[in-house]
Amino acid sequence: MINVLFILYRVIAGLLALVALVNILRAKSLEKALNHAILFVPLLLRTLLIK
Amino acid sequence: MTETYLILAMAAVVLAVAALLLRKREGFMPAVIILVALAAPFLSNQGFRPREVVEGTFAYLDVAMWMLMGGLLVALLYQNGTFEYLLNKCLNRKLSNQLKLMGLLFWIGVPGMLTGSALASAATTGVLAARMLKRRGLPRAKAVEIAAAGSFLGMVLPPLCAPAMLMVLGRAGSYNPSFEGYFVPLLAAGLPALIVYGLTCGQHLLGEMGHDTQEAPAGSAACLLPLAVVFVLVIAHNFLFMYLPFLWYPVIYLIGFLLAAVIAPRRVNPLTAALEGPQTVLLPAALMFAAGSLNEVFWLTGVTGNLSTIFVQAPDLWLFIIPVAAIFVLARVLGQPFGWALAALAPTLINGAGYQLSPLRLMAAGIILAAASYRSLLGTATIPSAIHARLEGDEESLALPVASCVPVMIVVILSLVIALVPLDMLMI
Repeated sequence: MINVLFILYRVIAGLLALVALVNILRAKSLEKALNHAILFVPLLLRTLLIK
Repeated sequence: MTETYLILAMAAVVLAVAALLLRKREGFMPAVIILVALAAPFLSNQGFRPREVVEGTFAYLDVAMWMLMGGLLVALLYQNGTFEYLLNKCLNRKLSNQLKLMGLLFWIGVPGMLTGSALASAATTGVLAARMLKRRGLPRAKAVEIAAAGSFLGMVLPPLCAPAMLMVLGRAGSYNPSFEGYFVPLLAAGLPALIVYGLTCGQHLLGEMGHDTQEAPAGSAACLLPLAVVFVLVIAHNFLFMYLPFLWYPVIYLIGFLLAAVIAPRRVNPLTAALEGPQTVLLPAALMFAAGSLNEVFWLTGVTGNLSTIFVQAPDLWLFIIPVAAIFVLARVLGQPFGWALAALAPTLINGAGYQLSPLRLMAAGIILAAASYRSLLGTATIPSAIHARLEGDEESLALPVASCVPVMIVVILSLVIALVPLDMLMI
């Protein structure tokens, strides 16, 4: 169960990182792009288990 | 000690300059707070600290994932018409105005409950309900008042409350404690306000409501299934964790999202909802990460430790009252993000009163920070203004009566009671 949840955790973090990345590229204003970028960095690092 | 004052002074200067330059652009504040976290130690000759800035965000990563997944679910339920169906049902039921207002506040608040952010409610159910109320003949001010009150109460009501999570998790830097056990305390702070506001203002607010001329949207009660499953799983997560497998909020929301993609009043592309979902919680989630960065910089440059040493013998009551009052005034006068910036420091000071006392005090401090978001003197991102800006029609500024602050005042008073009277038994 714990292993399944851990895999799901990484999948969800990866999914959210991907969504943040797409939103950075689609953002119509600098402030939104910056805010998505702030979310993207830790989500990506956690997906890759760097941190 | 001199470095501590220097870093604090530099942080205050950079923040104050940003306050002047970006008064109407609060969306930039997370980036500004991160800039403060980088610039303050650098200008104080404490080095350039990008590592702390990145690491600090991880204190809030898990709860930000809760919020973001909640945002995805809320966006899908909004786009597929579930919320519209629910609000219509609530407004069309033959109930007393008091009960109808309570139901309306609850359903408006659902996105806020799921994500912990009032903006999620304001952008979805808040605007939807305000439009429906306007179509039924209610003046714009009353429609906005109801939508804003519902959005605010949704943020305070369990399971999630972003400002409370900011404060509770901020007390230990990047070694974050979990935000578990706050379901009943949040319910105790929010539910009485919903009931009292519904009972006292129901007739006044909904008394002149007529019938909607527009046809009710299609849909059946089956579309409530995803929401019902999420509610049951959230209750089980909080109260039946001894008997059931521990499901994490994002997994619960993922189950809700998949169900909502299949069972819906109208077909929508779930990918569109997934891409738009984070927008509803973008600012609070980014602010949380930014406050985490600043918090970590304060920890690792010794600011937090030095302040804790200075205040080690201060009475615990003052260590709660003074930071909370400062957060409230700052958030109220300059705008919500400034209160969030101060929240990078406040949890440690409040925690200085003693770990045993702090969990409910931190939660109360967070709720009071949330209450400051209801109105603002100079800032723009208030809950009523967020709904007002999204509504079509009259563009002039909106003046809400003092009575519209009733739920906020009740929530603040109850939070203070929960914080100052030892009510640990509420934490399950």
